[in-house]
Amino acid sequence: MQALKLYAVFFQIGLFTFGGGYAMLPLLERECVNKYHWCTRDELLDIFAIGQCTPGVIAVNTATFLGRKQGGFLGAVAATLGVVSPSLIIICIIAALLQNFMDVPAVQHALTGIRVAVTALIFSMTIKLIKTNWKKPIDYIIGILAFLVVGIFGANPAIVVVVAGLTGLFYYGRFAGAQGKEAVATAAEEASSAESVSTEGAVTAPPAEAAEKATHNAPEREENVATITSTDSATSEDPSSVIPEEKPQKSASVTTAEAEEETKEKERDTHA
Amino acid sequence: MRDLILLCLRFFQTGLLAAGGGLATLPFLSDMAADHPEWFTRADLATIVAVSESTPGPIGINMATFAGFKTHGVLGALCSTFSLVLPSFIVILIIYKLLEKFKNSKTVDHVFRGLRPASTGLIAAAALSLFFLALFPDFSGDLLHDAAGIRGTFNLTNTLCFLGLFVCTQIPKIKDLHPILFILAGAGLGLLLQL
Repeated sequence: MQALKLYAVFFQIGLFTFGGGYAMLPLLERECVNKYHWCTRDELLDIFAIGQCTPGVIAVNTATFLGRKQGGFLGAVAATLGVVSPSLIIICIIAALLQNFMDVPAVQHALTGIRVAVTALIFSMTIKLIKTNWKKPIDYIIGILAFLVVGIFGANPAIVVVVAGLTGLFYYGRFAGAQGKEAVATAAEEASSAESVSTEGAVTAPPAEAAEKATHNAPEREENVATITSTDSATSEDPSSVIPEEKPQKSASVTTAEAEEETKEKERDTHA
Repeated sequence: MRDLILLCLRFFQTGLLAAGGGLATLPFLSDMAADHPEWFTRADLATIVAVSESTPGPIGINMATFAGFKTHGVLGALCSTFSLVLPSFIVILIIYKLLEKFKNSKTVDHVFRGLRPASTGLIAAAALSLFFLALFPDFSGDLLHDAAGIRGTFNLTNTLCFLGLFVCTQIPKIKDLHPILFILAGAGLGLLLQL
């Protein structure tokens, strides 16, 4: 029974997920959090983050995870099949019958309207999530940087998720003392006023250094910053060089994203 | 038959390597179109990307279904779609097991406390790109390289519809309506106002 229910719910979600994985979030919240209490909103966010940095489509990853959680292996199969079925059916129909389905004006009008509605839904969802998840200065720093790096600079979200996870690990594991909080608070104020990411990196450095004096000696840290900014993504996987501070980690995230962006551009060029 | 197995293998590989959402599959699909134009061409790929923006479902799934259907009918569509899904299915099951095991670990908790605000930021980024798509329909959405392109692409009717629907999502009783109703309302508005 549970498997059937999972299939039905995820079929419905799959049917109305226009415009990529994120568009399913309001539907997921409605069905899985509010209606069936399969998970909390926090868990939903966690699953989304996992979906970002694991292979495959986010919609499918989320369905598999929630299905497994609710109904074991069978549940996972049912939920995954459910979310995939609508597109399977629709694309087969389009491929077989409606080759020029996109050219029908009515379809275009309806789709534009749907896009507008999905945007409104995602906006209200985002506001809700910001209210519940951005509480401390560190949350704002991570969140705003993730937004800028992906939304404006077009970096791969998978990398952002990995860097954010590492930041959480080191920040809460090692650097959640009173001094750290002060330093981060000042950094957050300046970071929010900074316009571009590059100036932000420069601005956030001083308060981080101030905190540094209290815990570590300055030269050692400068070395860290140097190594991290000169090399790129490799450093984010090397914990030992990032542990002492949360700030170097941030600058690493920025440089990583920028490097990523460059490679993406190159890819685009070659494809063009 | 051999061709179908080959097709499935390629989609399996794509499913295994493309991390980070629907558009991450594009480079892999593009390579596939170059290697096997008999499955689908670059032009097919462009069509599917357009169709994917307007039908439910992720691009990767849609492309796999399309290519499988075109070459081997319904059976092909099923096989290639499941090949694409299988890797992430397995990976997620493994991750689920691991998370169950380390559920109460402080380390996992710390990681997730870093992830949640970032995940929110990513959703805000998705909201931004949808915002441009809906309100500035002819703008590429690339603020970094094409900020000037935003001029003249603003669509007033779309914006008014967006504002109306957004206000509805904030009004106490209306906001609890099912999101599907909002989507249907959007489709209705689009047909009515010829958006």
